[in-house]
Amino acid sequence: MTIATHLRTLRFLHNEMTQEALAQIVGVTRQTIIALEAGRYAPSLELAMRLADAFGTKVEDVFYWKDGVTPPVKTKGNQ
Amino acid sequence: MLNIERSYLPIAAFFVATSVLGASLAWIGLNVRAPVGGIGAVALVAWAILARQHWLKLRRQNGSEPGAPERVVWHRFSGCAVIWGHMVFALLNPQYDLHVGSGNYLAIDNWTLILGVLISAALFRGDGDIRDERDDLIDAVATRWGYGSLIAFLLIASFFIGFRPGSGKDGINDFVLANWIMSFIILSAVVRQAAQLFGYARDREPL
Repeated sequence: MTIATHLRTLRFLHNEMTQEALAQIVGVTRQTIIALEAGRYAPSLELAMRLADAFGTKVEDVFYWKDGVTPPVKTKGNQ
Repeated sequence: MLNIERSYLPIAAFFVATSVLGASLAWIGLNVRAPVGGIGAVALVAWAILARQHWLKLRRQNGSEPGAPERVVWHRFSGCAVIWGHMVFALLNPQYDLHVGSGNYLAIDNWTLILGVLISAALFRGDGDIRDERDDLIDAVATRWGYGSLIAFLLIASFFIGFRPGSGKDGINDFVLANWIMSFIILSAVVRQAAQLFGYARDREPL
């Protein structure tokens, strides 16, 4: 997974919001929040926008490329 | 790096344990000459209640209990594995059959176990109401595994059915063959559920 997230920090900054509370706000299971924070799951655009809305911020403030740059598009040749 | 031991071994060990429980029930039933499927059904419901208590404890301790869809899969997985173990033990001993040679014990047990699974599933039906996109993704991958395994098992079964010596001469009648096919269908359901549980376990591992 090349996408990382600031979710844990954002939760902490928002009154130490629990994973369960965030899950309820954006309408997913708590396990999905755990997977997102562990960097195991890239959310759909809709979920990413809901998460950003939950913290009153932009999607790019919640998710970022792990290496700081956009990785090359995967094709059969360079996978 | 995925910690395979931590992620996958408990699921594999659980499958072995529940299958052995199913096989043991068949063995006990044959020896006591009475249907003991009720014991298995009660064990399944008891396991479901204990598992629920354990997950509630985890929730209170640190909120690390599995999500609702995963809990439902665990219930299905345990039930299918017990039924599969029971069925395969009977089928590997064709002299018993499911009806012939020892009364209808094994068949009654098998249906009693199915009843146990249905009761345990009904008790915790409400647990699986919340689903989201990740559950659907894991479900889709697991369905591919289940479908692939079913086709593979049926191809193997077709090969052996097609090339076995004269029908009935080997003690394997059409009824037994039909039950073997049923066992392959149940096993493919087990593969599907195991793939789901592997998916959830993998997601919990930090990269």
